[in-house]
Amino acid sequence: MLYSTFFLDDNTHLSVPIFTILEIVRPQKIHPILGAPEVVRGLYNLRGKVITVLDANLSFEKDPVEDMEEARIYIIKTSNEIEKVVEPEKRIQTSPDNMGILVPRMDMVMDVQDDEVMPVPGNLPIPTSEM
Amino acid sequence: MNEEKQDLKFNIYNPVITYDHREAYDQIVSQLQEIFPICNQGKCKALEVSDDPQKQKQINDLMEKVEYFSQSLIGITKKFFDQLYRAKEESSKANAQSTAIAKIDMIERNLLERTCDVRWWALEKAFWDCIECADENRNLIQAHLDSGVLKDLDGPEQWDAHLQVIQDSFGEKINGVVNPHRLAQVKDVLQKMMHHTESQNQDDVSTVLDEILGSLTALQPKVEMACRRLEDIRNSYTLYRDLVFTDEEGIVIANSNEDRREEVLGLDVSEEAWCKSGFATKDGTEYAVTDLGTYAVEKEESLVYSTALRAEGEEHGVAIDCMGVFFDFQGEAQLILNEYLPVDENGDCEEGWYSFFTDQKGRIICSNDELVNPTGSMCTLPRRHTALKEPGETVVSSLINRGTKSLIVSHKTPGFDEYEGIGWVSHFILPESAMFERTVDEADYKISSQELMGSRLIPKANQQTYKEIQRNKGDIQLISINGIVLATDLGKAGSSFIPIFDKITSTGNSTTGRMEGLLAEMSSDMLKQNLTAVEYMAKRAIDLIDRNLFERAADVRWWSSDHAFWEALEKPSQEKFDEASRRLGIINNSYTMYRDLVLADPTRKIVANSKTDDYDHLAKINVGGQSWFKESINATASVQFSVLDAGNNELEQEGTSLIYSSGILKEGAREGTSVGALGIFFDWDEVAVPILEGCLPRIHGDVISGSAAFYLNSNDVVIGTTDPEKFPIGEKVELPEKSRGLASGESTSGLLTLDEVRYVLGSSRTHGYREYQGLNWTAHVVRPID
Repeated sequence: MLYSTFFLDDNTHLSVPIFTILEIVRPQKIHPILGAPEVVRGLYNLRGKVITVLDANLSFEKDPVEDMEEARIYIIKTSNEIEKVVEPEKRIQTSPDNMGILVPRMDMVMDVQDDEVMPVPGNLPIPTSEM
Repeated sequence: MNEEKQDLKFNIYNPVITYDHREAYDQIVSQLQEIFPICNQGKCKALEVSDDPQKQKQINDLMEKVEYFSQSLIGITKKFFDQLYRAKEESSKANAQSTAIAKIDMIERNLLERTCDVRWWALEKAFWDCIECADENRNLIQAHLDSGVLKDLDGPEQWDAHLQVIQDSFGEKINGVVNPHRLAQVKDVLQKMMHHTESQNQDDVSTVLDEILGSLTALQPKVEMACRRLEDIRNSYTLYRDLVFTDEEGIVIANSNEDRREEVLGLDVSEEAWCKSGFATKDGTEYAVTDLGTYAVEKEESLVYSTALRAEGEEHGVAIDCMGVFFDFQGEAQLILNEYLPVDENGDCEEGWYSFFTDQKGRIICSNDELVNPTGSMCTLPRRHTALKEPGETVVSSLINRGTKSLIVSHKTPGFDEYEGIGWVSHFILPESAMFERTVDEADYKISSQELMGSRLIPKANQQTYKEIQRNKGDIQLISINGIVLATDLGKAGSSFIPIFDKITSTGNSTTGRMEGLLAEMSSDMLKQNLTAVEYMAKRAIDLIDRNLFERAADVRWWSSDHAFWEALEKPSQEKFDEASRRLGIINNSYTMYRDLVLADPTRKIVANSKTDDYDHLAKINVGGQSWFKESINATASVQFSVLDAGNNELEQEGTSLIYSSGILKEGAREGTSVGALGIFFDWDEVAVPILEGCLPRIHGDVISGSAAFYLNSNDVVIGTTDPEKFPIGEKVELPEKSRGLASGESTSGLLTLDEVRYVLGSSRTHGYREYQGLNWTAHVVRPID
């Protein structure tokens, strides 16, 4: 299965399965939402569609993403959209609306076979293990 | 197409582009061009794998975007090479320009010193003593010759022959007899005639002969004394070929160069330009400069400074003769021209690098390479390089010089202070290939190329290109991943797109990576060029101050032998002290860089000074504990001098001075015991700061903000600065090891971080100049990077 990988910082390298991605865009203007949890950076206008954008760095208790030149937004498919493109056993529950994940730096596309995926080690810090 | 040609000065076919760069260009462009067929393949595949027109359009759009960005990258690549070479050219030009300016500035300052010298020397007592005696001698002999007493005599057969000898020796201008050979001859004849007349009891004739002989005998020691004083000057200031002065009629009656004395004394130079213009000066403050040439006095080409000597040594007295100093311009200029030129392993200047000066007519007056640009020949550069009109004007051209495409910089002297300069032009030529060659530097400056690319060392245009490349790289990557996302949604059918997008991603990465590599190379070149520039500037700052301080050392040695000083100290009286103060005042008025000049007696008191208003303050101070006094009072030779490092001294009410001192020897002798000390207070602040300001890094003539230059003494303490806030006087500066450990005459460069500001730093340690050994100071020039 293909994964798009990205960095949070030099030591944290994460990935998203390609089939969950609707599109990857350069962050344009993100409108902050008053009173929203800190992890929500704001709303993003994707060709008329309003997308809620989460800051991947904040989700992992790091400093918010600042350098927008290198940053990208992963637009994640809704659960329905995922249903249309993958077989039932691989389906992942996302959200009823498209979500955006703001990442500081994108890396590459990796092909990882299912049997190569290891379970998350138990001694990882909580946000990472929950992810 | 035409527009592109005009905009791109360095297209890839320009011969200065190196082989490596051409190869890199070819690879980048051919890789980018490979993307177009891949995109076409992608568009065809879109039709094959999906019937959904929306999906097909999405894939087509992505392919078109890739094509667009690839095309844009090809454009950027061309622009990029142009900018890379422009940046190198610009910085080489700036370096060459400041080198040409530095050279003419150095010679200019030297020439200014010469003008001070000649004006002051003309007031020396031994000289006008000699002149007055020579005038009396001439008048007396002329009167006797005119009276015809000698002719009317019925002498022996030899008498007429004797008269002829005298007539020939005196010639049309009587003082021609000061020539030692002629003097001996005429004295011999006069004695023979005396002997004859005495035996014949011809008393009146005998008296006349006796008077003539007496006058000549009295003149001789005066001439010898004057020659000795001129020798003292020449020994103190080692820049002169000869120093001479003439009598009222333009006959040389004293000179400093013993080797040439037989030929020079008695010469008639009244028709020579330097002599005429010297006589034409209005008062003691005026001088004349006569352009390089060969003259009767000195066969080697010299630059002659001349002025009139005035009766009684008074500044506004009547002109009674002319003094001429023959400056060893070639020797001095050669030292300057050979600076800042790259040398090969044999120590010879590298091929294609030339440095020379031309005069107003475009004639070469001094050159670093006598074979290629011989002194005396007409300069072969285009007229715009030799006939510069405005003082301070600079012309830069790219021309073929001796078969090599070269950069040629010509800069006309702007003059300096009150010295207007004589319209010379400094030319600096370097091969164009040297401007663009890779500067291999093994040193690790611990600065990443990314940091450098964002720094102020890199021109804005290049930074812009860097950003464009980065953005295009990001765009291609984004398109590829979105393509892969799209292909994945197509299921199995879409998997054939994956290799296409992989290829697009890898091509994008490899081309932009390659360009980033070239940008890194450019940024390290720019760093190196900046390091070289600040290193040169530091060297120039220390060279200029060394040369200036050499002059001060020469001044103090010569002044200490002035008659007014040793007379006042040997036979003290208020009148003599006043006279000494007056002399000190005249000296101080001839120069601009002294705060005061003081004379101290063996009881450690100051007995005379140039600024008499300050005397009451000075009179109360005991100078016995001050090192300049202690060293000078124990001096045994007139060539000795000492220097007290820059600092505040109780003798001074304000400012910082360097105190130069020399012992005053009994009867003004060259060797002997000291009867007092002369201290001269060199106005350090006034001299150091303008020199440092002249050595600050500039872009298009404007000082780069945040730059600074400063001098450190041997303890690394700041003694002169252009930025008293960052580098305050009296504070120690923590320099990198490399800059601190410099040996005498060595220069280096590197990075310096101070108060979280990162600088390129150039440093140079003094190696002195001629007899002046230097005080182990260092000069430093910094330019901020961030």
